Amino acid sequence: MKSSFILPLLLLVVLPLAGLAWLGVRTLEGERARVRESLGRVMEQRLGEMNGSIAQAIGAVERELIQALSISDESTSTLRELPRQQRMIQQLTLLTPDGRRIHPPMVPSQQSNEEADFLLRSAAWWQSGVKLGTNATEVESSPDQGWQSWYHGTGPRYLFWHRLHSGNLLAAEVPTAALLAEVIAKLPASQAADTSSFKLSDPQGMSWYEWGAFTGPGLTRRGNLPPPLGAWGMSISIPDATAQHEGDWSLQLVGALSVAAVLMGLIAFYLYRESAREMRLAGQRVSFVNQVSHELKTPLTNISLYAELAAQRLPEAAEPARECLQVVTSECARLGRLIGNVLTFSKHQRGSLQPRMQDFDLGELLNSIIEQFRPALDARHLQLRTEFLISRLQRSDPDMLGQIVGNLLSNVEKYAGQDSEVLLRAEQMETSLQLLVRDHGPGIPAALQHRIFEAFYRVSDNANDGHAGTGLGLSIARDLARSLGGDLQCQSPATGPGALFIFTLPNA
Amino acid sequence: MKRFLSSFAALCLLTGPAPAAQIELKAAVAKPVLPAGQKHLTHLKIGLTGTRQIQDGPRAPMNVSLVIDRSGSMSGRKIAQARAAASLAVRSLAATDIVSVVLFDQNVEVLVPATKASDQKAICEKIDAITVRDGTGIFAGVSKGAEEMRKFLSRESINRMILISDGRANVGPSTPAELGELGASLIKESISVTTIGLGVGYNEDLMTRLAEKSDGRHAFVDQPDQLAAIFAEEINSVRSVVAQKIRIEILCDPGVRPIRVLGREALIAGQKVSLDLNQIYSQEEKYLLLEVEVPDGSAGLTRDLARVEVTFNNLATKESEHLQQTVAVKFSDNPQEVEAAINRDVLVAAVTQIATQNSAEAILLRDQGKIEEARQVLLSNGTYLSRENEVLQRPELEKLNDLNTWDSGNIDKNWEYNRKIMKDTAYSNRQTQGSSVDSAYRRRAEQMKR
Repeated sequence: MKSSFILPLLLLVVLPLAGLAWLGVRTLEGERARVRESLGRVMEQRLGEMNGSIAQAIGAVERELIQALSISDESTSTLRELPRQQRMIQQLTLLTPDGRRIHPPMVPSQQSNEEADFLLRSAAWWQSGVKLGTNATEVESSPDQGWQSWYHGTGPRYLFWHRLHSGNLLAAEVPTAALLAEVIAKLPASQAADTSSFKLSDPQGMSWYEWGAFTGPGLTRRGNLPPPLGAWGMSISIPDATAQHEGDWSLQLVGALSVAAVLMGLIAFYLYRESAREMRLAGQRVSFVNQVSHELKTPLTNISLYAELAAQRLPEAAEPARECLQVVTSECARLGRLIGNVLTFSKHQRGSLQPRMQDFDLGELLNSIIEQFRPALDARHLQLRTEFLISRLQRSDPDMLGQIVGNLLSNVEKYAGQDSEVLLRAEQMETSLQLLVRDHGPGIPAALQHRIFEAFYRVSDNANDGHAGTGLGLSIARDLARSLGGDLQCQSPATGPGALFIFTLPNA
Repeated sequence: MKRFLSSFAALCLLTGPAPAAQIELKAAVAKPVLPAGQKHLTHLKIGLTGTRQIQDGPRAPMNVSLVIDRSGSMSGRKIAQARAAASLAVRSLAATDIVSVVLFDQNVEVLVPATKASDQKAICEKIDAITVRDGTGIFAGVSKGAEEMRKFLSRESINRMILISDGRANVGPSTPAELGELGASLIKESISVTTIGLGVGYNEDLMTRLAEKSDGRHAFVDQPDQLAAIFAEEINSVRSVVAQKIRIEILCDPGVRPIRVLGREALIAGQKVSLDLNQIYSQEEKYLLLEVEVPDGSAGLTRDLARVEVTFNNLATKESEHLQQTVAVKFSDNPQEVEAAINRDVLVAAVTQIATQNSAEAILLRDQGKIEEARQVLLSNGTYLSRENEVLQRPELEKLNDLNTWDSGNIDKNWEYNRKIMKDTAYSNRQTQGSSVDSAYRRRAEQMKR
């Protein structure tokens, strides 16, 4: 009783809270995604800015190289002098428009030691057979200049070529270290106020330059450098602001949820107290009714007893008086059933409805009940037909059984109308005893057939329709049937109008 | 090595106004008289020495960048001494000099962007506040230092980066080749990098390569308290630069074949050998030693070996100047005449370079774990030095022999430390940077005492 009441209350608190929590988490996730996205945009933008600086630095190097490479004198001495002057030129090679090498000389004995080194260093590139100014594999090029790259050992090497007025192609080996030092020089240095950090790494992923004061785990985004350093990577790391905000948001969420929990708890507590009071009051009423009913039973028994005694002692001739006394006896029985119902109901409510099993003669019990109802049935001109296909001795609780049958017949008496037949049939089936009560009254609509077993339910609540009752009879009958291990059901008869109640009791 | 033969002036052909020369050129051959009738290998030494600086003249402005390692390993005495040394260096600059300070760890911080060294107090205050962090990004530090120097780069200024590090580069390029490539590009902008290795944790190959490729100096400092002296010496040496952008060109006569240049990386193209130096210091000789093959000649014949041309920027006159000299040999049948003509100065240089090469070979073997082979190379190097010194009788060869003996005795101990001394000495020998040999000698002596 109590737990069945607390569970809904708990649900009343928990469900809205869970809903709120779910909504909060969803909002949190949405917010997190939004912040991530905007942080992502910021990182992309910063990477873009840095790439802009790098592109600018490379552009300056390109201009420096183009200026240095724009020579009209293609003599060997000039070609040997340029690498000694220009920081971005380590070696030079001069090619005819169709890719034939003019410098360094093809004859090894005419090459300087440094040129021989260069040819060794760049062997992979020469072997690749790339033709300057014609090949799509160039990193970035216009018709007159462009970049080439190859690997020497594990390090990338770069070649910048430029078309001379003569049509020949002059290519400079740009020292990787100098190119990168220039890029690094043009990138920001670290400052204490930096809120992000960057890393520039070579194609093998080795870091060359790191700047920015931010350390520690955060959000990281990677990108590539502009050509010709496309194989190089740059990454940016920034503090994970979502984590920061998340703290705030989580706090807010937890706060809101706590407030909601307290409110819900208060409401639940209020409801609990109210209903507990109601229940206490109801309990007091039930116990009052219970005591009163008990008190009523004793005088009623005496009235019934003395009415029967009086009827026996009346002389033969006093027939009208005898009839009066029979009415008194019958009404006493009715009142007794009412009181019995009230007591049973309250017992059931208290959960103390325990059958007292014993052996008894079922036919005798049924007949005695029928006798009690005879006057009332006769008064309504209801013909009761009985069919007993049973062995005489049964083991069950005769009081409960009697009460069930009594309640069913009481129903017949009240609702079966007039001038019709009522059937009471008891049959011993293979596994159970079946008691069947069928009338030919107006019957019960199928939709209501399960509701009539609810306590205090009446098909018509109209007090003026001539049917008195508490609405407890059928409910008690079913409770009793079930506490005996059987069941009571209401059906529409196969043919004709009326109501059909079937009580089945498994064999003991 | 700082001495000249008094006869050099007679052989020297000067072009342009003679009194303005800041550099004395002395080109000489090891064997001016060759035995007739056979091919010969001999050495040609082109020596350049800065003349004594005129003290009262306006000095060329310096453009100095201090690039300081602030990695975690520098904490304590090292960074304290580095701070003190850097402050001292800044205070020794003139108000017209340019200075910048760059710190590197995992990141790079431009502590003092290139500025006139007029407000030395403010600069030193910043230096005093240097703290240590994590990581060693030498490449990026040098890149940024160079960028600061570029802001005030001029033909007249002396541009010197002073890099101090005690660790191995662990952020960015870390191979000697990569740093060498950077150095090779910096020298074309007249920027030299002097590298100071502090303690025994740094990569001496990387540090010497960077210095070598940019014509800077190198010092191994095992005690932090020596830093101040090294910095002061460095600033003094920068101040003593008399000429910049020196180009030595040797045009060998037809038939004379240039074989190799000892100790330096010169360009050899056909008959022409050439070398660029970034600066010549006052009263310090730098030389190029070329091994040549001379075809045979008949007795009595005198032939030109090579014509030597030197161009440089005279820092006193701010003019580009030009020196020229022709080296000749004579053939003779008389062994006494051949013997008597031998130029011991050139031979000493040749022996020094060959011994240094042998020493480098020993380091290579020792690196491969071949301790005994390495010791054998050093022992035979010692034999070679003793034999040559018996004839030449020169204290510098004596010193070299002593160092070599110590090296051979200690090659199996404390390699991290000894390797640095060997590299330091070898570098000094190649660059004819005398002071480091002295300090290596001193260090060895101290070690012997212990």
